[in-house]
Amino acid sequence: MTGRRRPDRINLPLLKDIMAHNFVNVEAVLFLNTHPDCQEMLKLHNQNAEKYHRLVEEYQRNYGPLYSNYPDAELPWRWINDPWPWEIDYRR
Amino acid sequence: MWEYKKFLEFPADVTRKDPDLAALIVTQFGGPDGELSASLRYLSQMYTMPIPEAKATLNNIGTEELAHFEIIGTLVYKLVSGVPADVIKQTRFAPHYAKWGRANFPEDSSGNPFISAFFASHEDPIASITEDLAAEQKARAVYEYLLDMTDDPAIIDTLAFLRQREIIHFQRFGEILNLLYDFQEKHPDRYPGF
Repeated sequence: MTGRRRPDRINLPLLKDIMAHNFVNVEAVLFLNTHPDCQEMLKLHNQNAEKYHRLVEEYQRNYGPLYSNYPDAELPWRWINDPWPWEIDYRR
Repeated sequence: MWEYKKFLEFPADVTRKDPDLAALIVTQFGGPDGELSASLRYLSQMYTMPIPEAKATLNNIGTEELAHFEIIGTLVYKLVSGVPADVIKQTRFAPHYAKWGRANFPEDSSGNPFISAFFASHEDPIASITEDLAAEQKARAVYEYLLDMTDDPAIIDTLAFLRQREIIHFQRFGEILNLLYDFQEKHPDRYPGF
């Protein structure tokens, strides 16, 4: 089985792009919680969330799951693949 | 419920191994004003909040603090992973190593383990949110103390990000406090002492 294990795959620029869009949404959600009628922030939230989901879908299809409930057609089970977030050198 | 995303909220990194610094930064992993303390404080307080904005804000900020717990864990891990024991022996990290090796453990910079007595969770929403405002300022101050302890540019980026988040959270909690006062004025029956 170990022979079938594919090499670890990561796309750092795409992952960083996902992290950036995730952060924008963290911030937008906090702002909307106390400004629930802010049209401008809702627009930013929705545009950013749409882009985030597109990028996540692209990443998961090509480089493995970022969410463990991603419907992954391939074996061996890719969720366990290294690297985990604390193991990545982001300075590259 | 919670679902893990397999990435960090911020690309936390270090440019060199530094067990001495790890022994200090760990205070934001498991110390009194650390990220675990912050997360459990907010995620404990959210249940009895009287207004929806407060429930949502505590839920989302409590969740974000867990992501910060992971960022601090990443820094401590990267600062000590692969450092030989005979090097660690010469550093402030030696007492941690004697108990736990290089594993992360929620403790403060003096090695005291995390305890929930670091925070409070009151049914009185004014008491809780006022505590939260103080907690964010204390955490900001600790990040500034830690920034004084290093010249590593990657760590400075990460600590500065976390410091900035404390300021944003303080702003959001300030808005929640105002909404709570508005709510109390409109519902004096629910707050007989107000």
